[in-house]
This record gives sequence, C-alpha cells and structure tokens, in this order.
Amino acid sequence: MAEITQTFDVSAPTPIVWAALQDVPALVPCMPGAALLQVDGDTYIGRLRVKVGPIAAEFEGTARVVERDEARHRARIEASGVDRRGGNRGSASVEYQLSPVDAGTRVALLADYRLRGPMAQFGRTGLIADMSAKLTREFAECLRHRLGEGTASEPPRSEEEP
Amino acid sequence: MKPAPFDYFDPSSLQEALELLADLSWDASLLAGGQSLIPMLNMRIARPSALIDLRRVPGLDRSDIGADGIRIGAMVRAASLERSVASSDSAPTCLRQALREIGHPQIRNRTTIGGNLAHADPASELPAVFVALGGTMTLVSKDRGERSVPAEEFFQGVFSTAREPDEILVEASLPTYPGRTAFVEVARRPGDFSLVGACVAAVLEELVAREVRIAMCGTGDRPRRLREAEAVIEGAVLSAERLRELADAVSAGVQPRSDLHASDEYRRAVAGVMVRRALERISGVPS
Amino acid sequence: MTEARRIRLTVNGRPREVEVEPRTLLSDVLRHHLGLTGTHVGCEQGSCGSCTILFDGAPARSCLVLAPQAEGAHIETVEGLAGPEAEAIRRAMHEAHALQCGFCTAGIVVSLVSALRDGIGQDEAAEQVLGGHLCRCTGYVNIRKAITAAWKQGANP
Repeated sequence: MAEITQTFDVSAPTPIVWAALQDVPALVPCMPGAALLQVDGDTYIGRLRVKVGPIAAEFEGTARVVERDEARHRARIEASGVDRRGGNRGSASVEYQLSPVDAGTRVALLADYRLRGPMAQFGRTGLIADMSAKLTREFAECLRHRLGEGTASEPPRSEEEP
Repeated sequence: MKPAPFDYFDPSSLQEALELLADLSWDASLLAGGQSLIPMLNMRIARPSALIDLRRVPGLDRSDIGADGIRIGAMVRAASLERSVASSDSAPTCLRQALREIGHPQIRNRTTIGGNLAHADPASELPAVFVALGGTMTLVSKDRGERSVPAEEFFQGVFSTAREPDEILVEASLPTYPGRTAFVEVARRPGDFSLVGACVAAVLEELVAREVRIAMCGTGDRPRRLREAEAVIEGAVLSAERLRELADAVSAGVQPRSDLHASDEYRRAVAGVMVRRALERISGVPS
Repeated sequence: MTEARRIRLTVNGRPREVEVEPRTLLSDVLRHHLGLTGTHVGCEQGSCGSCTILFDGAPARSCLVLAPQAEGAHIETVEGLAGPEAEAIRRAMHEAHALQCGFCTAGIVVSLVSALRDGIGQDEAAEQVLGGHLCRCTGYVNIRKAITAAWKQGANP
C-alpha cells in the first residue's frame, strides 16, 4: 500500500553496521512509539504506537527476520500487528542492503507498509505514506546517530496506492 | 456511528487546560470547533481516551485587525472572522476569499481558526494563506511557556504540525503585506474540500511584480511557498506570456498526490491555472 | 469522566435539562432525549445538513456538536421556528413543491429562516446557504423557486 525507499550513509565500516542491525533489541529505541515485549530466537513480540493528528493506533504483533544474507549484507524483516481498539491491521516488510562507500557504509532501506481497517478506509489519503515515511526517516536518523554521522539522509521517497 | 467513550474535560482557564494536557497521556485530543474532530470521532477513526474542550477558556476568541497586522485568537470562529474582515480595509483580500471557501456557512459558524490551522489538513485553505503571507503561530505549554513558530515551519505534513502534544495553539497572526493578494481554489462543488488552491500576493508597480508570494494547498502533504515559481515573475513585467511561463513553473514545482478525488496530473495542471487566475485577479492581466 | 453529566440548555425557548454521556451528539439529545425528531440525521459527518439547527441564532450541524458544548446554549429546532420569516419560508416551500420525501427539508427550512432573519441576500441564500444542504429527491430547482418567492415577498435584497 505504501512503499518507502530510503538511502543514507553512516560513517562506520560495513561489518559494524551489519552487526548493529542484527541487535534488534538495541534498535527498538530508534523507532518512536515502539516497545519490545518478548524475544524468541528471530521472532520479536512488541507494540508500536503511532499518532497522526487526532488519529492514533497501537499495534501489537510480531516481527521476524525472514531472510539473512551475511555475505551480501542483506536482510528482510516481516512484521504484522493488530490495533484492537481501532480495528486496524498493519503489516510491513522491510528489506535493507548495506554497501561500503568511501565515507563508511551506505544503507538502503526498502519498506512496504500495508494497512487495513478504518484508518485505511477513512483516513485521508497520503496519511499512510506520510506516517510510514516519518517512521522510516526517524529510524534512519537514529541509526545514523548511533553509528556515527554520515551524510545527511534525504527525505525518504514514498509512493502510495490510492 | 457514534463516538467511542472518552473522558471529557472543560477547563475554565488556559493554565488548567495546559495542566490537563501535560498530565494526560499521548491519547488526549483538544476540542475547539469540532468540525474536523467530531466527524472523526463519529466514524471512530479517532478514539482519544480524553477530550479537552477549550470552549470555556477565556481570552482565545478575540481578533485584532489593524494597520500593523492581524492577530487571531485560536477560538475565533471562521464566520466571526469573516465578518470582521469584511468590515476592515486592513485585511488582505486573500484571507477574506479563503475564509469564504471553508466548508459551508453552517460549518463556518462553528469551526475555529486555531482548530483549522492545528488540524493541518493539506486541502485546507487557511494554512496556504498563512504560509504565503509569512504568518506566525503562537503555542503555549505548561512546562516551556510560550513560543512562536513561523507558518512555513509550523505545517509539517498530513495532520502534522510543529505543535508538541502538550502544547495549545493560542493565536495566529499575519503581518501586513503591502501589495495585493488573492486566493483561488477549485473544488467539485462549492464548499467541498479544495482539490487545489492558490494564495498569491504581489506588489504591483504598473505591471511589474515584486515581493511575489505563492503558496498552494491540495498539492502535497502541506502548503508550500513555491519560490522557484515566484522567481519567474519577481521583478518582471506581467504579461499573458509571462503568466503562462509562471503556470508551467508552478506545475513543475508541485508534487501532488493522486487520491480518489483527483489525480496527480489533474492537480499539477490545475495548480498552474489557479496561480494564473489569482494573478489575473490581482493584476488584471488576462490569463 | 465518561459517565453521564447534566447539561442545561434552552431549546425552542424552554429551559431543558438532560443527563447524558459527554460523547452524546446534540442531534441525539434533541431526538432521543427531548423527543424533537424534526431534526434528522443523515450522515453524522457534517456533509448533508439534515441535522441543521440554530445554535445561539446561527445555523450549525447538530451532529457535530457534543452535548456538553451545548451547555447554556439557545437551540432552535424546526419545531420551534416561529415568526414572519418562518411563515414565509414554510409557505414558499409548500407552494413551490420544494420537498418530496422531506428528509432534508427541516434542515433547509432552519437555514433559510435564519438567512431571512439575518438579512442575507437571495443569491447568497440560494448558493452559499442552500449549498450546505444535500437533497436527493428534488434536484434543488423547486427549493430555489421557494427561495426566490420567499425573498421577494420578504422584501429582501
């Protein structure tokens, strides 16, 4: 429903960035409104609070690392959750690819968010793309901060189906 | 449908309202005129656990239109401002025109200027006026007191503003602008949400345009100044050809989204037309 | 604080009191708690105008007013409209056959009576004021005829 691409540079060597990205519990504070409740191998159970204007949702669900290619520094995480109070269901598929650059490491994120329920039906179009772009941007900023400032991240590009 | 249950508060002072807002969790909503919030409550898209009604907070419903600018209390109703502006020579024309486009008279009797601005619907007319004319928003919180935010920084995305969760927008102001202004929008029916709207301002000496300001609504996630388009006519003599050039620059400069009301191509094309029309109104140069 | 609270308001000139949850819409207070079913509910979004009442003398959507917001307010519903303007609008709507199912009519009558009282011009009434109402039956033609007749009679500009 909303596809977000974001690329940013971090001034740290690729193996370090890779290792940091495998430590999911340490990354959770980088996602505003997220909390980790339980870890079971590659499965993470938690919740995510999102609010845009007067519209708020609290998703409870799971995230799993479904693909991991250490040699090529590529991984994919699938997440899904339910906002019981609002009757909304969300899912996301986040793929990232690391590549070494002069300044350190280039992180390429490709996220695909899907939303079903009243928020998707009645919410103003552009809302989901904006929400997801904001989340992605904040995550990227936080990650850069942690790993060492690289070049500033450009605003994420987002596309949403009407 | 009907709203889901919420805790209702109607504080009798700004201080009380700020304390409530600071105490309550992330899940409280402020209620001003309710013309945007209550439909969301009714459809249960918004389900705040608490509602803080500002109707009893004194001092937020005054507006002051003078030679040195306009100051509008957040709880001033659009209809009331419409009347004040109509009987004043100092108010910019684009403000009067934009106010007329807000919903229907029945909505304007209830909707507030502060609520409209804080809600930051990308289709909303007033944000474009405030961005074009360099307006300022005054925010207050319990812990940090008062601060002012320029309109361009205030609007940050769909329903997103610089207002922190514990802040209340108390006033919005517009500086005097020395030139002529116009607001033009297209909607499928009068009173509908705008598909595309343009607020244009220019100081005209003969047909030379200076201090040009162009801001659009309905062409993205927030109102933006189109500085590249402004540069096309800044210091230039307005002519039909120049206006066509401007319209092209406007269309190139916006990044509208498609939605079920209009496609991005339509909005892009119409954006240029709206700006041309607004300039025609200001300058008399036919488009 | 979600529990019912007492709301005091004046409806059609009479002081009334209800005890309702704060989330109760004014349209439901009028219809269910005060038995004034002339005010209709079409959309609960503020689009259709069939719930229009006068709130302190000005037309407003009662489906977009929460009960506590009406504390101390003077509400006029279609049942309470009286006076020469109300008479003029009622007669004009009747003579122009400006309603079929009648669902939207109450809201339109409220808006038009208020417009006539406030000295709003005929064109403004026919476009801006009527523009706040949706009618699925008539195509608005006869409603506009009624406006023309009422305004001509009311010696309004």
